[in-house]
Amino acid sequence: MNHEIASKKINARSELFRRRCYKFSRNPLSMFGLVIVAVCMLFVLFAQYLVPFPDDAQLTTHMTKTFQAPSLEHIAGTDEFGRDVFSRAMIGLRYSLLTSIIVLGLSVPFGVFLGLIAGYYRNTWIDSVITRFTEMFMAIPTLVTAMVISALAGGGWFVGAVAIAVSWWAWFCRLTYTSAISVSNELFVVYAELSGVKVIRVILQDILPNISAPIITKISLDMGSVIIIAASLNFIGLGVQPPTPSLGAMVATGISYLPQQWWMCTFPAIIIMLVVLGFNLLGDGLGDALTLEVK
Amino acid sequence: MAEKFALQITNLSVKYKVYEGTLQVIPGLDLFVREGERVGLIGETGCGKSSILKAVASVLPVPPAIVSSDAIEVFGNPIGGRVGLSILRKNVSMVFQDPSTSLNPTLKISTQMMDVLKARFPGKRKSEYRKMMRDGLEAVSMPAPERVLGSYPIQLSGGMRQRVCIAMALIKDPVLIIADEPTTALDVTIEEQILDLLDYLVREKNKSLILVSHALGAVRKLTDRVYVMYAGNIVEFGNTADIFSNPKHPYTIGLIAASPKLTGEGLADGIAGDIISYINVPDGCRFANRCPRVSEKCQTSTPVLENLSPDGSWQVSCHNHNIEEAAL
Repeated sequence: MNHEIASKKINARSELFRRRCYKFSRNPLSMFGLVIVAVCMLFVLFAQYLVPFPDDAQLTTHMTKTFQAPSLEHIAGTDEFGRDVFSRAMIGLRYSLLTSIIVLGLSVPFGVFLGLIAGYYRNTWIDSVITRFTEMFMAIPTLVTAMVISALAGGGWFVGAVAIAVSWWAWFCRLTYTSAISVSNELFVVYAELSGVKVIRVILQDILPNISAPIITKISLDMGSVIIIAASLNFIGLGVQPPTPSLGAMVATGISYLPQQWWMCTFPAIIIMLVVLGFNLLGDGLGDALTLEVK
Repeated sequence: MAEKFALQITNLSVKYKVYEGTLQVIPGLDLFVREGERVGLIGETGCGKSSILKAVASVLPVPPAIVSSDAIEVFGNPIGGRVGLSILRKNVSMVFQDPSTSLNPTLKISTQMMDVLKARFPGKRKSEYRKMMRDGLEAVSMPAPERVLGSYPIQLSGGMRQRVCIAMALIKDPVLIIADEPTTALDVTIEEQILDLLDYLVREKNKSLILVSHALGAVRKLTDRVYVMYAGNIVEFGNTADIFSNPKHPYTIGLIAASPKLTGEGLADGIAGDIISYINVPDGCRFANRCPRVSEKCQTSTPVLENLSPDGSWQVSCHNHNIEEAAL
């Protein structure tokens, strides 16, 4: 009766990983998302070497070639200082993704931690306190909170990132909370409690791994959403400060040159759209692949 | 008291506060399990069996549940409070219905068993724990225990998972094992194996057992005494042999008649009607709306447990249990 494990010794963890990879690779849309994200990452890491005019990210001006339409030399045209829009957009992308990483790096651990505590101590005063606290932050739109905080704290892209994180964690807390409640009712948690396993161990070993799928999915989806919020902050002049390029600020500048110099806002906007699309497709694919899970 | 009780419940009441009102699931119930005794708990779905077990294990979600009792004692020690809880955790173990949900899918078997052992016998060396786990799995006649320890639950079959669960329940060395329909999720051949195993282990190690099951055959085979529950009340209890050969309460009679017979007399009879709603519990006997022997008295006064044998080991709660079958 134990033939399924007796036949060969398989490393269980790598087996599961392989199965998930297979399921992920079967979906062309998620693979498309993965490619977009991979290309983005490539540009984030090596933008200096990949873009044709890396110097244009700074205060350079080429007054001889301002407002050039897209051509072979400048595939996305040039802006009011003659700088290459494509180069600037790709370097701006680096700051956008860095912002996402900082926001999620700050908000995910905090939100997940509070969500786990609240979910495990469901229906007690601990739950009520954490949930009400979370709802306070969820009640105000993220963009408003982020605007107020970064305006008060004086701008800068790092301040902007922290400002977004201040309200972003609440959504992770809510997600973790609801997932943790359903896992807390599972029999293996009940059994662990009955066996007197330490609370911290129950939370970290029994509950957290079983709710990781939705959290990972949300992280991937949120990479895109944070980029939009960050771009919105840039658009109104908060966050990344000129001359450092940022996608949102480039769109904002480009708008005043519409419709004659349409490329100035169109290309950065397309890049925002593609990146967000890529992360969303990746997140969907990850969600499907991870819920393959073990039943 | 001369006798030693592994578990003694006095006047347990469980209510659930829900949106529609308060569910009076268990109005007040006494139950005891002697040391080394195997006790069956039978009754249909929704009659409160799981609520009792969860109340004993202190794992009912409170709220919505409201649990109160005069006493729940494990080996004479009241549970509840910090001390009581640790006594409960040392001495009581559970085996659940569905082994695929009672093991954590993301942890290896060894990690899960180790957690139980570490909580129960703290401060031993890893090799000692490892040996205890191996012995525990061998005790449930698991082939290749080392390989099982290194596996995830997904890699084991249903029967093997249930063996792991039983092994996990036993390595704690508890005095009382609560088995909540341990074979319902398994197929019939495995069911037989698991029941035999449970029977053997409980006898050999002299544990007390509470077996909840819809398989009356299993209860008849494994247990010394039986409690029959209906709608949150114990309607009859006594020695297994007496209850099965000569049931007194009309519900017990119906329940036993409802199980299919090997002799093949066609489909078994059921009991007509449904279990009462727990929200507006009517006066009188909770079984009255389905009872073939219902009389006027049943609608107004709630029956209490009466002795059928002089020593009180066989009791029934029915106004009309003396009516002969022929009189119906």
